Amino acid sequence: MSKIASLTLKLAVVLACIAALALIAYTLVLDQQIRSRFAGARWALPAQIYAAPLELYPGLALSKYQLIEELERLGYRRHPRAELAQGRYAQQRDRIELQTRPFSFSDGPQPSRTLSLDFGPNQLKQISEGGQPVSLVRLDPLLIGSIYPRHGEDRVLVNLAEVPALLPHGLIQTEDQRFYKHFGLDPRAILRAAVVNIRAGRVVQGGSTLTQQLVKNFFLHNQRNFSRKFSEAILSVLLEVHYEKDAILEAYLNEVYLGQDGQRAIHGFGLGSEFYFHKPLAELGVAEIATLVGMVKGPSYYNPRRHPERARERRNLVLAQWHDAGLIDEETLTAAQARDVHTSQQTLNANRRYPAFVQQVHRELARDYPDDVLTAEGLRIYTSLAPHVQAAAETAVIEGLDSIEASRGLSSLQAAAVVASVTDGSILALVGGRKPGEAGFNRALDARRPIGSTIKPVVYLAALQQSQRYQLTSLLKDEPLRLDMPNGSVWEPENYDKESHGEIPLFQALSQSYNLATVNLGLEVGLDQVIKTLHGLGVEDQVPALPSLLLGAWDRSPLQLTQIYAALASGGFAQKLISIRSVQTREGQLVKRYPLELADPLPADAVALLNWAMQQATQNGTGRGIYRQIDPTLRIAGKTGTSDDLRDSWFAGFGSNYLGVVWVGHDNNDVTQLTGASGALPVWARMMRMAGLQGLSARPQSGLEWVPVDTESWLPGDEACRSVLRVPYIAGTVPDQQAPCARSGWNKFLDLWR
Amino acid sequence: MSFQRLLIACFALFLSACAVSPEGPVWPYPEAPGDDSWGRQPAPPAPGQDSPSDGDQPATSSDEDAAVSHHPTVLALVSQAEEERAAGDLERASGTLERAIRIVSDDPLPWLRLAEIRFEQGNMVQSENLARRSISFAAPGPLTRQAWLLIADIKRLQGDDSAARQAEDKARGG
Repeated sequence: MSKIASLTLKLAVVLACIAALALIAYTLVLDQQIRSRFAGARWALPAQIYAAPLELYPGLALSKYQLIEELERLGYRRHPRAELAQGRYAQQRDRIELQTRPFSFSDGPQPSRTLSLDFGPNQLKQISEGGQPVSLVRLDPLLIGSIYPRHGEDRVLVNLAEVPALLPHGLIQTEDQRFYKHFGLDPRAILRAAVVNIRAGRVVQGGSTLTQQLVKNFFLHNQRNFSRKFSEAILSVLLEVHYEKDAILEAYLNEVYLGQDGQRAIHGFGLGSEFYFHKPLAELGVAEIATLVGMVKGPSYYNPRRHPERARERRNLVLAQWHDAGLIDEETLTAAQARDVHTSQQTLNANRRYPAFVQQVHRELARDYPDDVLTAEGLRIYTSLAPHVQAAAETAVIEGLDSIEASRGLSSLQAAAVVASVTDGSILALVGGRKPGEAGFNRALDARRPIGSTIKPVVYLAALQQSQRYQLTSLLKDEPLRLDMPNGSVWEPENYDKESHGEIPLFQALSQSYNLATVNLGLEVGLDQVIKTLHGLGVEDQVPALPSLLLGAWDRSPLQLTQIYAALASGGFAQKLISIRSVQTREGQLVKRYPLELADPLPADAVALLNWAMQQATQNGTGRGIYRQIDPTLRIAGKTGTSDDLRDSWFAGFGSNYLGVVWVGHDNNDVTQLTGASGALPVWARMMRMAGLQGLSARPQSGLEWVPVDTESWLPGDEACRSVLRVPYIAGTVPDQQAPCARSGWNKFLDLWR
Repeated sequence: MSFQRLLIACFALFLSACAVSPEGPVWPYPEAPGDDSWGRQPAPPAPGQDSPSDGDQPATSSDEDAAVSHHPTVLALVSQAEEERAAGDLERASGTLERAIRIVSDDPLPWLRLAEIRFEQGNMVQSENLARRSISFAAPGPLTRQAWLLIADIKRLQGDDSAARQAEDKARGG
């Protein structure tokens, strides 16, 4: 008996030793895991994408209401003047006072500033700070998205030192009151929970400490079952051994899961604050902090958007606990409990708010950075998106299509729009469809359709560069033609009105968009010259060398067409359209600047003549419909385009600040019944009016001569002619021959003696 | 179950005492705490760095401005860029001038200054194109003269003497 007993004992000791060794080994493995995972970058941080900041300076064309709109977009709150604080503004007649948020811009930090702005009608008149005038200041830029891995975690890191003090204290009070006293596990809490659970007969309370919760989320999110509990306990204690309480608390603040936004997981209080309340953590009130802390228990169950009543109850319970613990006073409690759970709808789909633009940013970034860098290193991407221009473009597409469909009995039209800066070729707005907030087929980038007559300016530019041969008043033959194609077919282009118009001046052939005159001109100039001009305008891919190219039988996306027009809008300086201005590391180190770059210019004088002809198109030609919406005193250059059988409707045009392209059509390429003038044009005009398009300069350009031309013979005339038009010529190219109506040379000779 | 966990935890605590690294508990920040600019209240900007005040003296000579009037904000930024350039930070100066260009796009002055910076950086193609863009915004005067002389210098460096002479002719108003 005793022999058996002693054997059993020995066996037990051996087994115990083996178990102990195994446990030691396992603990060492976990320890290694803790130290490697917590060292270095603890989280994969998605790249953060920012819109361009609004620059404020005296003289800026910005109304008080436009500023308020911008402030609201940024999540600034209106408060009485006495309560002015960071992220708030106050309004008083023509004055707005505001306190900006500090922001680390690509060229350095700007601290929070308290500004007073005085407005005139549609103009910012004066900015001052503490009575001193300020000549230039920026608002913090709008965060428009982040590049997180598919099904990935998104977060905005915060430091413990800078979060509102109530957050960590309140969190500890609600989740783990003995946090600063325990060693990672809280036996008392565990026992209490066990008692409660046994009495209830089910799990109603957890005894997990913040440390355990952190460990569970950070290390063990893929494991379930008992062994997880086991590892969790060991890891929690190990974490406490290695790291300070505050460090663990800070990690918790950044790790905690607070909900789901489609495929994006919302992690940490920093992003939670942005996601649910559209403001930085530092600006949250007591009630909002309590709402977030309350959510820790069940992020989807207590989701304040989906279950406001539940979230409110939970919040009020949390607030009551805080009051009992002396964290908040009676007055604060009453005020906070009375508040609605007020979440912001604005950031509901923050990452989907500008999906078309963000997609373009992502594509540009992908040329320079591998995806794992973009999704992990917390890069800060500064882009050129102008939120007010984007808002104008989205509204114009939505309302414009509704209005076209209603007035013409059409349905399921689609559209895309691009707005770029004439100055530096940066993309200011991008709309990929009529539901701009929804990701999906991005027509601005990916819908390639025949561009129709919007190609014609290129044909005319190719001609005008041969300045001795072609001037704006050169007569072109708008006559039928037949071309034998290489494949044996015959190409017989027609005008839109099916008529031919005989001899017409070159500029009118463009402004009235006559096909026959254009094809005749293009063939005379040479397809090779037209294609060369396209390359000069920045087109990099191969262009089909077919006569139908002259009428725009060439598939381009709206963004690609915008690229072609960019050089025309900027006086001949082609610029690659880009959406990124610079990239910084998370710590604010500059990684890369995308500088303003100009390609070798096209001849400025020929471009100036072309722009004059494109202004004729909006004043008297196919583009004149824009002035139903746009101030008629503005000089705007533009061109309509329509593809075969009225499938695609285009308008491309520019003033001195913005260049825009709009496409309207059907996704399935069905006939729309719309021309460029009846489809894309009204959307374009609506968009540009709302965006604040400025007219082209009337300043005479050096190297051009302005000559009165007889509108019958299209030769230089004078006051003796019945009707003359002042037309620009490149110096030295004014025709010698005078109009028949002009005073003869003999009369002029006599004039000298009169 | 709770007791088990407690026991195991105590054991783990005991074991892990041997596992502490010799340096003692550290929170391994990827960078020194305090360097982390994320959301931190930034330091006030260096003088003239961010918001140029109206009191800043433009660094431009008075004769070149005789013909053209510049927006005060543009002048303040041009002068800020001048300081940045003097301090050797050409990239920052470029950024400041681009900012000026975005605010008032048809003022030839910041275009010309940017052309000069590209010249210093050895980027002759951009320098020339920016100088030409500057000329396209200016009435003939001191600014266009400077721009043509810059183009002449570029052409000479490129070994194109006849183009350099042409540019010099233009600078003289030819």
